[in-house]
Amino acid sequence: MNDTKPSLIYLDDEEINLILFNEMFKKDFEIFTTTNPNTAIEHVRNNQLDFVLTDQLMPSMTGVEFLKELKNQEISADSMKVIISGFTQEGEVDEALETRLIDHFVSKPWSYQNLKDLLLSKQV
Amino acid sequence: MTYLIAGMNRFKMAIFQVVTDPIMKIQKGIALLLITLLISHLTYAQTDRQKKMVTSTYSFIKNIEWPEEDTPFKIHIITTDDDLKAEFRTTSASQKISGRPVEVGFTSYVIVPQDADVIFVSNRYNATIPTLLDRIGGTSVLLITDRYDKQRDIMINFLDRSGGLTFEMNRANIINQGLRIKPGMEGLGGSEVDLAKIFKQVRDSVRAMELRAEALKEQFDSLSINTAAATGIFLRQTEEIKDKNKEIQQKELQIILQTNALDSLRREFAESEKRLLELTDTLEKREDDLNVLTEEIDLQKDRVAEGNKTLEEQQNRIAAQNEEIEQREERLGEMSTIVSSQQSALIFLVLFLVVLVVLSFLIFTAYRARKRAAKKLADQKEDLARLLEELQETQSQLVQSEKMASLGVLTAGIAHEINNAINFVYSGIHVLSDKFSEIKPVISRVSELNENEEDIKSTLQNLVKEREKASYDEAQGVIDQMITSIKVGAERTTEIVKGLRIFSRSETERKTKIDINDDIDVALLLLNSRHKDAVKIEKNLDDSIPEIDGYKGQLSQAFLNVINNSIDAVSEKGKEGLVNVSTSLNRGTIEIAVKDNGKGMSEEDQQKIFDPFYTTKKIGAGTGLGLAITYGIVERHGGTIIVNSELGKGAEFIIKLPLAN
Repeated sequence: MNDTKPSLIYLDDEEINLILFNEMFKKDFEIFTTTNPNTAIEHVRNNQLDFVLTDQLMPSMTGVEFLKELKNQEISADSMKVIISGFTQEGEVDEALETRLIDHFVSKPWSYQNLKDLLLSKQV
Repeated sequence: MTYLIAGMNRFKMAIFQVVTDPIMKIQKGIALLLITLLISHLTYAQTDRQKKMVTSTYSFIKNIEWPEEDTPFKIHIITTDDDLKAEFRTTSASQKISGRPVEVGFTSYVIVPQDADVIFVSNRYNATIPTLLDRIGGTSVLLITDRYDKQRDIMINFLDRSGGLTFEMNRANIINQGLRIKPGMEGLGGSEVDLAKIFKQVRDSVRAMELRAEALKEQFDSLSINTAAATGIFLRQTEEIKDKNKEIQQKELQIILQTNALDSLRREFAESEKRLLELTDTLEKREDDLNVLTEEIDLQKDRVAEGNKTLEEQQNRIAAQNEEIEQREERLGEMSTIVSSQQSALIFLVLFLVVLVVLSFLIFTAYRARKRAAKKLADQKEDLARLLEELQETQSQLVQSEKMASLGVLTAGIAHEINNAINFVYSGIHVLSDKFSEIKPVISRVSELNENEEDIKSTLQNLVKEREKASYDEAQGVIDQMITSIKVGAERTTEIVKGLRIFSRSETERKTKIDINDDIDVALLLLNSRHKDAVKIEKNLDDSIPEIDGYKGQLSQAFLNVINNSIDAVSEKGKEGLVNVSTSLNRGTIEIAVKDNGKGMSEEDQQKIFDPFYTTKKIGAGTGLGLAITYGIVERHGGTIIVNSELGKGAEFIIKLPLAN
């Protein structure tokens, strides 16, 4: 097993999604999960991460707003940003894709293989 | 020869006839003999002429100096006369000219013979001589002709004179051919052509040609003048045509410009028309919807007004009658007073009786009128009830349509909720199967355990090792967690679907027992994805409120509309949105309050908010029917709905529903 697994953060207000994600991908990534956007921002600030994954629809801010906040604070410019949502890709998300604020949009329910392929293809 | 044979044959026939008819035949025979002799003589004369011509021809040829060559001397004869041909053939075989053997050729058609030294043309072909002369002019060819009449063209020409065959010669023409005539030619007889006569002929023909040329020139000159005039006219016409063409081109250009302008006008017109039609369509649609509602309401209003009017009229009539009765009573009183004061008690009694009869009659009439009015009122009431039923039917259709429309608006949100729940199930199963394959070796070991196994201890040791390797305890924990997540996912999906089913239930169904709090939950569930982002929902539901009779699905639709409205009001204002939903029981009435801290609304908006098609939302964001429908639903359940609001501070909707209606 490779010691230097790619690292990522996953922000989602659904606790169950975080547990599922962690169980599914802990072999492939160094994972940090949280339901709190502020905790997420702090973690991203203090760690060099390969990926930032976030839900779109959350109580205190949307995924796009969270990523805008990261951009405003000029942190984690190099990591790949992905939004995972049960919505179809539209509105704010579409605009964010166009302005390259996010790199990818993944719709729920996610599939292990597809999500892994999407993230690891960037690692080559 | 042929004639000779024919003659002989006839002669034989004559002799035959002499034998058969001696006297007659002798006379005839003598005549025949004479005729035969004449024919023989003529035939002889004919062949004699040809013979002479051939002999003379050779004499001419021999009296001319021919160039010495190795090739045979060629004589070409143009004729169809077989005797002449035979004569030439016979004679030529033994002839030699300047030591050259003679070769004779014949044609029966006019063709210019190649390399001929002498050409003989028989009388029959005289017409071809001018052409022949053109061809052989200047070459050393001698032309011999037979009875050709143009003396200026001949070289040697045979003639028939009384003395027999003779010839004439045009010496100049022979010399011009480059041939030289030997002195012996003169000894052959014949004659020289008369040059003076020829000269005159030539001069006459030249003069005739000159005259002809002058006439032609005159003709040509007049034609030239005509041509010049025609050319002038032609040029003028060409100029005119050019001018006209220019004019036509200008006109064409103008036409094209005008056509273009016309086209663009036409296009603009078509577009405007199209836009107008679209606008008209939209307007008409709106108008139709409104008209249907307005008509229904107007109709109902009219009926009620009519009923009220009739009732009022009746009451007025009764009042008038009462008044009249009073007046009469008064008058009677007055009269009785006068009578009592003047007449006896008997008369008073009689009068009193009369008054009584009149009074009872009046009362009876009034009673009858009132009864009739009551019946009329009952009929009208029935009509009104029927109308109300129809109105309710229409209204219920409208409610269902609006419900479906609001579901359409909410679809994306509901899909989001379902997708999230499905993700729990989907991912849960994935992790579960992973974990299960991790602990599978341990389970396999367990199933291999045998009661009778001798070395049970080592088997158990293996099992424990396997269990540690598979981190069995941890896996078990994860499996429990996954089962929980799958369960939550499945439950949520079921709930959403159940909510949708309750919500979309058609209201034509009968009234059922309804838990108001459940209906509010259904509304909140369907709106879950709407209020999650930046809007906080507070729920203060009173668990003690009893169930009420109502139409399932309708009330949740009403709550959904009101709550949705509040979420919109809050979202439009910005962050820190709060919507409070509460239920309470208050003196036989259930009170549902939805309060928000959104943008609120003006006095004018508050008055119109329950009107159909009145909306302050963006086009496509709402149907404009939500609160109008809500109003109808609440009314159907015997309740009321009111709104309190202040612009910029928020709004509160209060729905009151009676426990029994």
